[in-house]
Amino acid sequence: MNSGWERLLIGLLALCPCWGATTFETTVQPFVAQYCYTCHNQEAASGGLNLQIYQSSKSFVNGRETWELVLQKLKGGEMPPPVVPRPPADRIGAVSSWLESEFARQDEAVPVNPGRVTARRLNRYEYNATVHDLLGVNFQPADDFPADDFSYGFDNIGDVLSLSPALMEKYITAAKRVARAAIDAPPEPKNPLVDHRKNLTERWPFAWNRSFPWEGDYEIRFAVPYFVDGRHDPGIIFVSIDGQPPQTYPLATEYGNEGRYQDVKLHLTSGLHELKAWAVRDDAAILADEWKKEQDRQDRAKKLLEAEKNGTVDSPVALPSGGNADGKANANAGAKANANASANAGNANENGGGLARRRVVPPEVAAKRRAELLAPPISKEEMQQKIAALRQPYIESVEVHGPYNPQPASRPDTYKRVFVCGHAPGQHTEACVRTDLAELARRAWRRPVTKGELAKLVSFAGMAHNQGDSWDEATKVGVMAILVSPNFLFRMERTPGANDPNAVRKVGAFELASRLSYFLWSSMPDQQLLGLAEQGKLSETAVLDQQVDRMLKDPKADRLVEDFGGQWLMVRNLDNIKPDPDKFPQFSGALRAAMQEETRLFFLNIMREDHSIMDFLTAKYTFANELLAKLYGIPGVTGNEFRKVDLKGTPRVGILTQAGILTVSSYATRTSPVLRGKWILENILNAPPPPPPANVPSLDASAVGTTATLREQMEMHRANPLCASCHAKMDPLGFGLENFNAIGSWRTMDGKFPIDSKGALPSGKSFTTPEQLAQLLAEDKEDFTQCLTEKLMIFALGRGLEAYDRPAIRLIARRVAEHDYRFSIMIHEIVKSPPFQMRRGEAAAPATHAAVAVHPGGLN
Amino acid sequence: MIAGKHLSRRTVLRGIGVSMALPLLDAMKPAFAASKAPPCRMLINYVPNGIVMKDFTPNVGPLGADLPRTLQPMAPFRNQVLVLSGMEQHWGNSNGDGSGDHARAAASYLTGVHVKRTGGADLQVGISVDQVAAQEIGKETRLPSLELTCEDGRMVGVCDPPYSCVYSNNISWRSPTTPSSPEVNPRAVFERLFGPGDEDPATRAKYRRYETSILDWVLEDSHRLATQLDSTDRRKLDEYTTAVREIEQRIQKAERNNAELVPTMEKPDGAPVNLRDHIQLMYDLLLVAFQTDSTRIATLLVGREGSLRTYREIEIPDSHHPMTHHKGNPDLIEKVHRINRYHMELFAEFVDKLAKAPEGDGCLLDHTMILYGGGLADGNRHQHNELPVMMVGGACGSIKGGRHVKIADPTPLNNLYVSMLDRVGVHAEKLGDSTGTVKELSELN
Repeated sequence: MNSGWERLLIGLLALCPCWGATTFETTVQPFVAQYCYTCHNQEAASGGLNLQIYQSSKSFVNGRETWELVLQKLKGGEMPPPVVPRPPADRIGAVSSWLESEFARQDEAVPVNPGRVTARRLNRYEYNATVHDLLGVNFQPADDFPADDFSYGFDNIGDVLSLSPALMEKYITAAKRVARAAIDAPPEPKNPLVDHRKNLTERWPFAWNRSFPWEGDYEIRFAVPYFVDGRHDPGIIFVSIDGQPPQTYPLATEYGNEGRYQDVKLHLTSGLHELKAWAVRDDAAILADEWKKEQDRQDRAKKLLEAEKNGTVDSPVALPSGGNADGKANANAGAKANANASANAGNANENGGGLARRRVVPPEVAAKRRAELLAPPISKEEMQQKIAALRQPYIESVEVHGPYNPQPASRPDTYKRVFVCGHAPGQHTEACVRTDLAELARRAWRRPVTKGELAKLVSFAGMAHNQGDSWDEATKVGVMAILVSPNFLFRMERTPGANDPNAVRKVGAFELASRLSYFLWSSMPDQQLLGLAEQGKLSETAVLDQQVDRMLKDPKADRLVEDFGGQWLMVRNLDNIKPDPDKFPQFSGALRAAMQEETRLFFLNIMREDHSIMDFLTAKYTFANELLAKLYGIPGVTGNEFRKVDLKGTPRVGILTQAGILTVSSYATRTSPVLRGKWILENILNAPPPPPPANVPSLDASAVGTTATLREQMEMHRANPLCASCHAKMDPLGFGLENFNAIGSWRTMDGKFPIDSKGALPSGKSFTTPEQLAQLLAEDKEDFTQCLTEKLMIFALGRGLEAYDRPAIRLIARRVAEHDYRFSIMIHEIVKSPPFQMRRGEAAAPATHAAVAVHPGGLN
Repeated sequence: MIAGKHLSRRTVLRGIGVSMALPLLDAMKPAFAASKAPPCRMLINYVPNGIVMKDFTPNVGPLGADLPRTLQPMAPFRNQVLVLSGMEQHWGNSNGDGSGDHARAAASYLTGVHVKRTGGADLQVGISVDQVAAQEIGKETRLPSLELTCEDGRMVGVCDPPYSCVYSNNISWRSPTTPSSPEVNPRAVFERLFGPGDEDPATRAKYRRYETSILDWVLEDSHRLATQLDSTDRRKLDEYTTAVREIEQRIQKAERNNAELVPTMEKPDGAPVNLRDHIQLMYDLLLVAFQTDSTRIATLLVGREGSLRTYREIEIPDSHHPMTHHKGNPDLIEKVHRINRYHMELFAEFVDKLAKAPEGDGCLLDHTMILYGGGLADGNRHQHNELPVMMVGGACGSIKGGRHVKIADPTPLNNLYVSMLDRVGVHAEKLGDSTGTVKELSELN
């Protein structure tokens, strides 16, 4: 080949954009000039954005935040807007990937900034969990504390958790109570002690974990409501103590003053016992009863017809009153009305003869009764169906009477946790106090105690001992001091030396152990974790990995699902919402509990079996019991226990269609596509919509009414450009879920209008079913992965995220993607990330936030 | 069980955690000897999401027996009711900060300052008028102040973005950065007033001494700790030490007085399920707190700003806040009015009890000053001026009731607070954005 061809080849190759310097000038700027300058130029500066100022690579470097936004809008398909001809996909792709790699390059060049967390006091959930893990007491002292303030969607944000004197008072009282509960023998029982739970809403089954400090004989009364749906049918009460196979007792149907109940006598040892009870209709007995009444009715009908034929009916009184078991007159008896007829002794014989009653029955009533008596016979199947539709009875109150003949009480199990010296009560010495308090303080303060601190703690016990208290009693004061100290109440991270805003250091071993345990367990480090911190081994990656795996398998990791999950998915709000009982009569306490349990088990399953996080969006399975399955219209699920349920063939998929989530994103009386769209944007995409502008102009009232579907009414959102910028994103998502009513049940009609759940994302991709919506949201796995990473980070760190956290987030999301999106990978990567492992000095100025859009959730 | 001695002649009506406070028998009055004049109490009763003003505002001038619908339940007490119109809370408006009217309305209501627009870390408002009073005269009572609410602010999520939920859930601020969070559980309030009731007096005295030692030590320890922390963390620790110091003072006060406070009501079981019961119970606790002089300053947040509560007991299954954006729909306006009226009825029952509680030469109502109102007038357009302001009570003879006075519009609400502070014995030159005082409280007009 001669040089001419070579030169041509080289020349051609040099022109190829994929060879050589792909720069801002060659790739991005021409694209932007062609497709964006029309609006985003110096004069018009649409949306406040002027892109003309970025002409060279240098100027690009200073506009990081702007270009992050550009990237987001480009990839989401929002920009260029639909009115402009769409650029070819490969050019968009080229620009996007250049921007992404450039950002990554910039991030690597910048020194790591892990941020800092403000000292965090334990919130209520953490206080309860910590006290439980520390001492094993079985009451929740923090339930009395004022509610924690939350921010960025979580209630463990250091800056926002404040400490008022009211709360301090509670801490002191709680410390005293906890110390007493852990150490004291229970007080003398007042005989007989009566304890009760009353006015229970339907729960299925009722379960009460109650502490019985005294061993002895107890009598427990389980009562059901007197009337259920205006009837008191025969039924059965099941009672199970401590998970034993249940005993059954028949439910009385006699009229009594105190309602219907069953007293169960038993002997219980001291300690915690579980009382479980539930009640069901005795369908067989009801059927037998009703069938007999039905046969009766047929007989009387036959007799009446005969009598009428023979002309021997002497109305009105010839009405044998076929009564109910309770003796009330039954309106099924009927006869022709005749106000003047006198009683005929012969016809009034079915009530046991004797003097016939004279009753004057108005003609309409008599006619009605006759019609009822002669109504067509009901088949057994029909009757069974009617019975099956009746409401089940439920346990309405439980009373515990006792102990009778109590045995002398022994110390609670928690005693040994405090007195590690191992001595029995009354045999302690001063040396014991030293040993016991040292160990308790080490565990409670999550680090070894200094000599000075220990001396002080011991001195409190000494002070009490000098006042005449035994060493046991005196130790309580030491325990109180431990629990009231800021070392217990706050998770503090020391800043040695003078503050240097640029100093970046690893958090200390014990500080890291605390971060780990409060992240995954919402509670204190256990002995193994503390031990490793003491040996300095937590800084080794292999050890750290192993610990995270162990902690995720530990039952305490359930708290991650409850605490983090309940807030991320907002199902914690289920405790407080009240759907309108007229519109949604099937909503009950039992259904509320079932909804919470479904989401909890679903998340728990993903965590424990280490599924891909995409299951949150695309899983075609869930967990349900009979009550929930009935709401979902899924057949074949009976009984109260939860089990995995296949969703194939149903319109449901992942968390988006779980009843709990659908309910917390609705109003009490109706669904709200805006609320649901907002929920998705906030919690799945971490792209919360900006707040509505001030002075939102009112919708034209005449256009809004009951003559249009919700969708039509909300078209106004999109018609007005001021509203459309946000609502074009939110509304379609919510409308995609309109087939689920405000408590998550499937429907095809909204009043008299069929539901239209079609929609499109701003990128143009369209969907017609909720499943398709979920698939679309899951398509760009990166979005959801990044969202979940950010949410977990906020929870793990206890602070909001800033621009300087972006590199860490991106890295974590990438690693998760590389490992099949498994949940455990995300946890591991978060734990190993700089923001979790390290800490920066304080900024010179008071804590400022980077100049990003201040959204409570994310980095836009 | 309740600590202290039971009055054997006591009869108590017991519902679901509800009980009625009995009038305090003269022989039991622990607080005021015959020679001392009863002090003036201050209560702020806050209702959220605005009020339908056309049903609230009476004619200017003397109040007749025929009052507008929402105000009607107060008719028996109209001689001690002073309605003021023309007041505004300027800092509830956006002033360039965009949306978030509910958060601003609540946060600025008792402070009168610019509310810092933030979703979390760096909250900033001002000190609320009740806390200003508490810091001055709170030392004279066991509890400097009492903050109560009937709505649990525990909903997860954002409340009134971009503002933090802390702003919507609190009206009382002890410092520009620390709210004085209200208590929602009546049982907890009872225990604050009368103790947990699970100790005999000797044990309680013993443990008070232990607690004092412990608290002395943690204060000392905190000083040492602070040297190892950066300044933001030190500020957090400051909250702790401030709280500890206040508790220490309370313990000392309790030891000095050594008063065995006899509660005049049964301890509630918890937070009632029914809203009516809950509100009534909170009012009962306020009554008892004032009667026993446990405190003289209180705030009651009937609902948090932006409240989504439904009022099924008066057959309104819809959520409160969305309804207040009625856009002129008469059905919705009527429903909102019914909620306003419901709040007023329950309030009037409380005022009735205050009027029937004898104290000194008159009744407790004579020595109380209540501000009934909220940070919004018309909830539909988030109106922060022409606010509903109703003063109830004699304020120890310093407020002339029985009339509706129109003040020059707009007058800062904080002017009213300066006047109120004066009446509880706290002299303030200025509070927040106040420009003077409200002389109309006592002057004939």
